[in-house]
Amino acid sequence: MLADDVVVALLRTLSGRQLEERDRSALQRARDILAAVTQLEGREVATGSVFLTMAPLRAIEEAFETVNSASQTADLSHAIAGYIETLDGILNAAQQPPDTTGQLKDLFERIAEHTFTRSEEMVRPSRDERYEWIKKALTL
Amino acid sequence: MDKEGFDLVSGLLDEQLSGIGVYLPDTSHVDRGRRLVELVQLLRTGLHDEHARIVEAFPGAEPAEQNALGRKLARLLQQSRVLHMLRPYVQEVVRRDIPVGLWQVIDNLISALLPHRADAVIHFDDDHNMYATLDLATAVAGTLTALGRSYDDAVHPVVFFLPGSDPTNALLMPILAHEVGHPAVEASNLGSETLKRIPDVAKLNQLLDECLKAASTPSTGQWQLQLAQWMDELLCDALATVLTGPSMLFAAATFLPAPELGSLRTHPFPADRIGFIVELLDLLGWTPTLQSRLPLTLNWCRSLHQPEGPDPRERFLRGAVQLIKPAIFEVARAHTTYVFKPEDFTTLVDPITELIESGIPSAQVPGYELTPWAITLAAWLLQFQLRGDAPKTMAAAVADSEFNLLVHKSIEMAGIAKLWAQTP
Repeated sequence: MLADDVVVALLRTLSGRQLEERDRSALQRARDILAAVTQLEGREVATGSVFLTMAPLRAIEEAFETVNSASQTADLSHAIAGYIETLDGILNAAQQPPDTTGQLKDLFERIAEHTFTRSEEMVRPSRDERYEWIKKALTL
Repeated sequence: MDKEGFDLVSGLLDEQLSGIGVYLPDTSHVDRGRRLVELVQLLRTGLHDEHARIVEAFPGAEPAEQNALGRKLARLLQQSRVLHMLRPYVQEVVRRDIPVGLWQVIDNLISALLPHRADAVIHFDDDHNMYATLDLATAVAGTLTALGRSYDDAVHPVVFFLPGSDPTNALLMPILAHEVGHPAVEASNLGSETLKRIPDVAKLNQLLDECLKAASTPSTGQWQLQLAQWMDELLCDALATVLTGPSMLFAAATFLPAPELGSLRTHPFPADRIGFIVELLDLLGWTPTLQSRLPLTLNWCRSLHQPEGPDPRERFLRGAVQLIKPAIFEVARAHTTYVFKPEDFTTLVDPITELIESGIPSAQVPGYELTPWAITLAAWLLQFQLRGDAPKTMAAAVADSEFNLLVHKSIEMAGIAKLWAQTP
């Protein structure tokens, strides 16, 4: 649900509209998630704030997988650093180039689509998905 | 999404949210479980208000924003369907046929492991026939934040899933203790606490670096998440061992089961987990008891080993566990409000087993308070005495439903005796 709010906030930024408090808090939360993903992508074991900020573990895993699959880049850490910079700029009311804001909006569009599809599979599984375990059990 | 489509989804959402109101039970005379109903109501109100906000914003929004708002509305509809999925658990709130002994075990687990307590809802799981717990307030925290709401009660509703085919198996209750460990780890950030206490972080980082170099296409993030999952599972094993003593070893050896080869997924390998529990029991002073009563089974548990596979990720995870283990032991002992120690047990074991062996529930030993875990351990030891010191005894003991019923009844009556003693 957060991804939709971020997309709305970024569309408002792109059209030069004033951000509401709610938009700002969605962008801030998105920034925290991206920062946590960066920590996990480091070459050192993450012993810092990531597990506190993002607890529970399921939420961290979900956020990591979603950002990872939506980022469409080999160098995830570098791309995320750029996104965080853009978000910081927007949150500090600094003027951002429309193309970087647009790229960020595209990322969260993909995240929104991705999470929407995943939720749909969960709340309305297809007949095959619902009985998948039977198929699996029969072929093991 | 155009205006017509938006209106259609909006109507569906109204209908779904009204439907949730129909199944919510009246909790005015209910104590246990009412927080689950309150949480569902909070989510329902949040979805309702968010719906109203989107309906207001949609007409004046630009087309691109209308698309985003339309998707958000469809997502609210998904969320309302999730609320309907909680219906089986909500209906348990007014259930009155749960055995009293089960409530007593669950109350004991909550008071020992969850400092903020919990409002338990018991669900007999016929779908997966497994033990599990679900802290729903934590699980939906992200959704509530996105709806501009928060669940402010420190006491969370927690669903306790018990195997539908044998929900009250007394000898397997330490597995439920492991499962209660999960909300404990989440609520008290025990994962972070453990990471802070790692004795040699540099060595851990060196191991990560070496293994990443050895891997062809590593994803550092996935490795780190998997380490966090393994650490969570071991923390839960440690919490259950500290609280229930050697019964956790026997229950885990049967439940996993111990000889099964593990795969490189969310849980450490069974052999490694058994070794971990044996080591912690030794630190807690249980080895002499085990050595004197079941030396063969103890040696068998110690001999379990899964050879190292070729994957560098496995080398990292298993190596990391060795480095983190002391911190896990330390955190588990510090977090559990009751540490089950051999000295609290030696004087109780004979009086408890004498009665159980005669087919009489053992509820009291004059001068002592009987915990569920003293009764459970005495029952396990009696099984080894009667059936012999061999691993197969553990399977036979768990399968003995009459015996388990007697142990369960002992736990129930000991709980009642304790309440009786507290009555002024």
